[in-house]
Amino acid sequence: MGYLGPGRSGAFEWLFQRVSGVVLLVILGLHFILLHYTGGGPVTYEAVAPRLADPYYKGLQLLFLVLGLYHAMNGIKLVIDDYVHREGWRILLTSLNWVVCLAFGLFGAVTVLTFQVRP
Amino acid sequence: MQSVTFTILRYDPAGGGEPRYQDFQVNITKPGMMVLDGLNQIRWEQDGTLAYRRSCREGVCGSDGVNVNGANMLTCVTHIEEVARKGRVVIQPLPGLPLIKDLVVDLEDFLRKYFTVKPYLITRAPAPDKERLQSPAERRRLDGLYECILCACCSSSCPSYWADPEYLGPSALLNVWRFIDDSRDEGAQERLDILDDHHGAWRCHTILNCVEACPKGLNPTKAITGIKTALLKRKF
Ligand code: SF4
Repeated sequence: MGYLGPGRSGAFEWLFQRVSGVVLLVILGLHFILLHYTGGGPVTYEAVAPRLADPYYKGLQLLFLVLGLYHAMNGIKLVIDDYVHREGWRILLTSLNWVVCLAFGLFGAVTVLTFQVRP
Repeated sequence: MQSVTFTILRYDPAGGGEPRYQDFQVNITKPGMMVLDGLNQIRWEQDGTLAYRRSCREGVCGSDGVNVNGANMLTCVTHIEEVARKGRVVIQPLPGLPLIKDLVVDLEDFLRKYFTVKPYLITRAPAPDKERLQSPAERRRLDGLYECILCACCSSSCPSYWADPEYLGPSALLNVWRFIDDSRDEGAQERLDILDDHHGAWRCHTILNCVEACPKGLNPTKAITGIKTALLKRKF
């Protein structure tokens, strides 16, 4: 049965899965601290919106988005590689994995980039 | 006298037809009977057509790996009472390998992968007058590696091995690390060239079935981690 991965060895994918995992944990921690332990008061639109509109925070969100999608998609691909043994299903699911990932990426990027504070 | 039901997957290539399960009653005639004793009782006293491999009957030859109640093991070192569930043991051939007859699988491809990784000492320096010496610490690094008996319990328990017919598998990878990590060996680079491939070390997704399956208590996943680390050090 055909191998549906990159023509490469898989070394980079292995390493970057670990690197992205660690970075995701750090960003997630940062996100929780920012959201729940800074600024005091209840988490309202007025409190959160200015931060979401901040270009640096947008950068962080985009990094989170890209790494999260990469990590998830790579993980799902490995599961497909190991547990989907029929070639047709494997091609279908691997393609679907790509489509879903790109769609989420586009959707997320548009959401993050176009966010503005509404009075 | 107590008896245990052996449910065995039978397959006869000559007779045609699909593999099917057949029940046998095994009498527990003495304490501490092994699964192999049960198979022998069936073959010698009930059905001489039952095919299975065995040789040394003490966990050294590695020929009697089968799947018992869902886990790969050697029949000669597994007590019946250890694995019997409600008085029954279900015995199947090792999964993921071509079936020849009953419990006998084709190990040709498994062994071809073993030889692919050059499982022998490679040296450039001319041979010394006496043996090639190792310090006790260097020798200790080979513990947990050299004991492999090539029973195939690990590779045939691995979902990545089932899914990818070209994957070298945990057994070949453990055996190649035994030489890469050997202080006397100088063939590391040519072996790492073979392993740096999506059918090589990187195909391992750390599922750890191999560690559970190994009847010798070896840890192929740890060996593969050694290979991956060596490959990364070489690359990045
Ligand atoms: S590593 Fe263990 S399970 Fe795998 S072939 Fe060697 S002895 Fe058998």
